[in-house]
Amino acid sequence: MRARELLGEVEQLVLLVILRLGEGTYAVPIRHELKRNGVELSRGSVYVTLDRLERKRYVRSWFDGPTPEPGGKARRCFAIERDGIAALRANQKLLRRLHAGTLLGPQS
Amino acid sequence: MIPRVLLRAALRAVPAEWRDNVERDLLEEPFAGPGRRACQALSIGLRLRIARARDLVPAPRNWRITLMREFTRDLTFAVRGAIRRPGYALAIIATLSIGIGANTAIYSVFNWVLFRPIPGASAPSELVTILFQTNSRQGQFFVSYADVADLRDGVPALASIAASVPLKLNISLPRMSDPERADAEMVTANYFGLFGAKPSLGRDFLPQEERPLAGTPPAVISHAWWKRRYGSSPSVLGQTVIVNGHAFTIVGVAPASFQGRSLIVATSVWLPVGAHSQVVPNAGAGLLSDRRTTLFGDAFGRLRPQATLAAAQEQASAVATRTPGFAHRTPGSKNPISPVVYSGIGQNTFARDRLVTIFRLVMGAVGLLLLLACANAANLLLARSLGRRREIAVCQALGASRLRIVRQHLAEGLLLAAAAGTGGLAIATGLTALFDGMRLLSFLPAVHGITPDARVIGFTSAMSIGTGWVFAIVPALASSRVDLNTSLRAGLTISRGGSRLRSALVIMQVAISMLMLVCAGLFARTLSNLRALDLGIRPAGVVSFSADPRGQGYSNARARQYFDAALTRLRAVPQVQSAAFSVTTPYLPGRSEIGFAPPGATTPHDAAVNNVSRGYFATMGIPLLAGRDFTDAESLPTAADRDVAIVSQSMARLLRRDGAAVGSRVVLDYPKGKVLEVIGVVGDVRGRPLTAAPEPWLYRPASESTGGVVHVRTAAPLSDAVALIRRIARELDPALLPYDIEPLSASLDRILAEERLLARLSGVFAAVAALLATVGIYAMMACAVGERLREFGIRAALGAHSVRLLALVLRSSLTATSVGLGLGVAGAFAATRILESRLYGVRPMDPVTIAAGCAALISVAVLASVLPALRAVRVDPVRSLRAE
Repeated sequence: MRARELLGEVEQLVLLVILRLGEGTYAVPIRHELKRNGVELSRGSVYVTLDRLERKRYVRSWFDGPTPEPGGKARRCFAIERDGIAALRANQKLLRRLHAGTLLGPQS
Repeated sequence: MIPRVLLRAALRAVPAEWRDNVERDLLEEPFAGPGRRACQALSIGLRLRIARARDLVPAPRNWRITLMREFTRDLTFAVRGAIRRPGYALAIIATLSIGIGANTAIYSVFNWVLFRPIPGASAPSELVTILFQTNSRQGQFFVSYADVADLRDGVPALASIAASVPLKLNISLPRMSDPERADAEMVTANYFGLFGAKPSLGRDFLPQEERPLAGTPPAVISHAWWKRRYGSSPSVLGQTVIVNGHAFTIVGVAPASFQGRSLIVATSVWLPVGAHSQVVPNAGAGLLSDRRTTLFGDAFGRLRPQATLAAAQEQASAVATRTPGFAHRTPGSKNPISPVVYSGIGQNTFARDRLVTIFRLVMGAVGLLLLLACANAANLLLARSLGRRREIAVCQALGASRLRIVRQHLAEGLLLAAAAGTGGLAIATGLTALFDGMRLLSFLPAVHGITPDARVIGFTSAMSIGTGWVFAIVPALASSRVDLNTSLRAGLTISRGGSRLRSALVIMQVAISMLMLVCAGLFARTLSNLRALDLGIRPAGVVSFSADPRGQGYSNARARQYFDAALTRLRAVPQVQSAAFSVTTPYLPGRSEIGFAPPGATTPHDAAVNNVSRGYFATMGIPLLAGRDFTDAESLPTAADRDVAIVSQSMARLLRRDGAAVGSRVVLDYPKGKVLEVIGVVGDVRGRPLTAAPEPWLYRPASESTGGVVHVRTAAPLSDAVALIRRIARELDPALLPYDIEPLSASLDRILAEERLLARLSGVFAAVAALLATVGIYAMMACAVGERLREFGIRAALGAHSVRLLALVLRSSLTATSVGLGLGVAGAFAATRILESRLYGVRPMDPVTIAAGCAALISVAVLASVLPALRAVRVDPVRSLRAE
């Protein structure tokens, strides 16, 4: 198994959102879902993150059919890969381990 | 509409595989202003690119496969393009073939004599040469057998060390009449083992054959000699061969591919050092034991697999330091001779340095020629791609990127260059045939059988690929910068940029041709000036020959009698005006020097010394200015040595300021303090090199000399003289072969081998360069006229006289030519500084040569523009206007 680097914060969020929205989601709904949960990301950040996740083989992408209008463009859809799930799991484990036995104190 | 265009422009920033997706996503989302979407696209694109660059993670696609696929596509397209317009393709291929062919030819000649590995040797990269040089790595000194034996034991980095002495010996077969003078080597026993040359028949030498041998010593003959003299008969082993009058037993035949230590000279016979007393009878018995008797000029070694050259050098130096008396060392000597280890085996250092200098010079010239061919090809390609402007514009309109167009052009360039490389190899094969039998340097034998090897092929391929890039890049960049708007319209416009570029290329061609013409002119004038030099001797009608009776085992007294008898017989022939003997011949190798001083003077001078017989000055045509010649009593080999000398004019001036040296005395350095009386003063012969001032020459009677050259001045034709010499030599001793029988003028002519080579090569290159420039000017003018035909038609319709039109065309070609000439002269000004040392009797900026070069190129330019100009004049105004 290849050594995994730590997931970045945004990477983690985007991976979770793809997992939540299911196979075939794309950039616009991902950004909307994050916004709904109170995270405001720029469009560029979303694309950069998707690009990087794909290069790391955490997600895969494909093109669905173009829109029916002339010159219509194809849409790029995403789904999480096994490596992506493994990375999320490792991250979760790490956070849990680091949280264990520490007190964050009362919520302010 | 505008936001749409803006968005498209901005989307160019997005990496291609994201572009469509980003566009679609952005169109889905609501935006406030029209420009917002474009800004978003731009920002997304930039961020994606920055993030990728920062991550430096390879793009998801496999770029190698993509690149290969696209390259194949470009190449197929290029092939189709070449087939569609075969004329252009052939013209470009022909032009480049000339350039590549010239380069390949020169490279393969010098590869043959300088760079190729020693033929027939196994793993030649492990072989090293050990030279014996002073601390500054100067010169090349001889060492004794004992020195080499010490090295053999003391350098563990070298698996073995062998040494050889190249010789020329008389070799004959018993019962066969004519001996031949062949190249031989006297070698240590491990010589063949070192080179890894296994005998194709029999054996090579045994270790005990390095000790003095009696009886019939062993000999190994070359494969070629075996084939020629024995018809490849396997019964050759055990047969006898006569070398310098001594019988040797043939014990082996060398492998067919092996020709000995040299890249140029093919050895015929190898003899063991143990047979030195038979081969070199007068060397003395102590040759193999006495450290003071030198034998080898170099040694060869083979590096062990893990050893380095530096380690070998260190160990060899250590041997020299710890061995007392190594290479004539004396304790405390300031500049001792040490072994220096070089990788590879080839020419001796002196020949190598000279050859490398010539190689650089000539390679520079052919490099310019190739540049010229590139300019020409670029010009043609440019003309063609301008004709394809619409096609390219359509491609771009359909979405081809500029990079794509450039790549397309480069593929085309590479294709044409590859074809030209093949053509160049063919041309080179023809050109190298011209070098066959030619001497590159006066003291090297002629080269034979030059064949291109893997290095040459590699060189040509690399050069072709480089050439493809160089000549295609300019047209590629120029034609990819197409203005879609104008090109897609009827295509009527004249591209100013294109024609400017074309003239720039022509200017470059003219400049290079000018430079080469000037160089060729200077070399040719140098050669003719050197030829016209008064050598101080009259070689016409003199035939010379050498003989080596001592090598044949004659005693000193018998050797002197031999020459004495030869001279007497020659002088008795009515057609012979005079005949004389001398130890050396001026200008030819093998001269010696001696230190002298007038009595009482303290500063010693050096003089070239020659031992001559009576009649030498008359035979050579050297005028006797004062005093008398030697008498027979003084000069005959049988005579007792009288302490008399004849000096040259320049030496006479050193002895007495007024030059009237007859009667004065000379004190020699060696034998120390010996005093000679000057009995005559003769004319000077020139120094060495020829361009130097005459040197002082000291002539002594030949009474003690036992080997040398006989000069015969005769009115008979050359063939008769040669027959006469052969007949007399046969009468004197049928086994002793006179060699190097040739007119003195022929051997003197050889001293100009280097100058002749340079003059000839530069002349050929300059002619080719001028030819290429002609083609270039013609192509430029043909294109320019073709583009401006309508303009000429309008001018003609408005009443322009045909002479005016002619002048118009000629003016533009002559403008480019004269700018090129100016640049060429400036280039020549810089380049000829480098050549200055090789010129004689002509200044680097010789006005006559420059004027001749200018005149030649201007007439070439006029000639090349006449056809296009006539086309411009003949244009029919009605037709060209109707087309409007």
